[in-house]
Amino acid sequence: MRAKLSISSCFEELSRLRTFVRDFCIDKIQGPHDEETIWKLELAAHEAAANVIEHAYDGHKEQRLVIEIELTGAQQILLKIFHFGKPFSPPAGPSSCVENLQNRGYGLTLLRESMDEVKYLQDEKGENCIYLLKNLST
Amino acid sequence: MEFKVEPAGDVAVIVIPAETLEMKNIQDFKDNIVSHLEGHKKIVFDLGRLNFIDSSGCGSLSFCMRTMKEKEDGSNIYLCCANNQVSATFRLIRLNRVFDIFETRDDAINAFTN
Repeated sequence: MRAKLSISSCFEELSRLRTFVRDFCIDKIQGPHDEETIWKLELAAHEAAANVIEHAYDGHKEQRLVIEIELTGAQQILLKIFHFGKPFSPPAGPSSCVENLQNRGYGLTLLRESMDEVKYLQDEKGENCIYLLKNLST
Repeated sequence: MEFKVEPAGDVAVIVIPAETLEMKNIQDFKDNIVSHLEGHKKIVFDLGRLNFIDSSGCGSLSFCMRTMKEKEDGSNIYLCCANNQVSATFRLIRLNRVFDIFETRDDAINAFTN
């Protein structure tokens, strides 16, 4: 079971992305961890796409992101965010420390804390993919 | 973004008017909250209308707290009325370590006065 969405690279589109993820999950996920799992998936999709818009596309609004969401046979939700912007390599080292009262830098922490697996991939054609996996049993 | 300030003694209760605090509106938030941060020592942010906050929204709250701390006069901000999702987002990045977060507005106001 799979669905696909294409959005333009502007922050105003992110509410449509969250609705897309929520609607898919409400339709497909059944069980006691529903609401928490759904909002974590919404949040992760939002954060990953926001990073693409801001950093991969430098805020240019005329670019595209394609999002695929899938319920796998292994009871996982797989979210893939495809883009042709600048590739990203997550920095090594500790996450941003909230006690330092930084303005920014919490997005990677939110991604890692809400998903079971986060990968940044690129194919031979230069298309980038942010791969987010959530096990429905956790 | 316009903020409604409801005085409760010497505590300024500021209702965050937006339903989301995220990349598309955080600059508007920061531009318009600064004068309130400068003008009050005791602030309660009522988050009751907020149903989504992202990392940039959390960062803007950190910005507010840092602005208050830099005054070095005991200025502080308490948060209240966050819904389940907003509270859970705070816990994911441990924002609850730098903010006192209360269930109700009265609890936050009383914490300042007690």
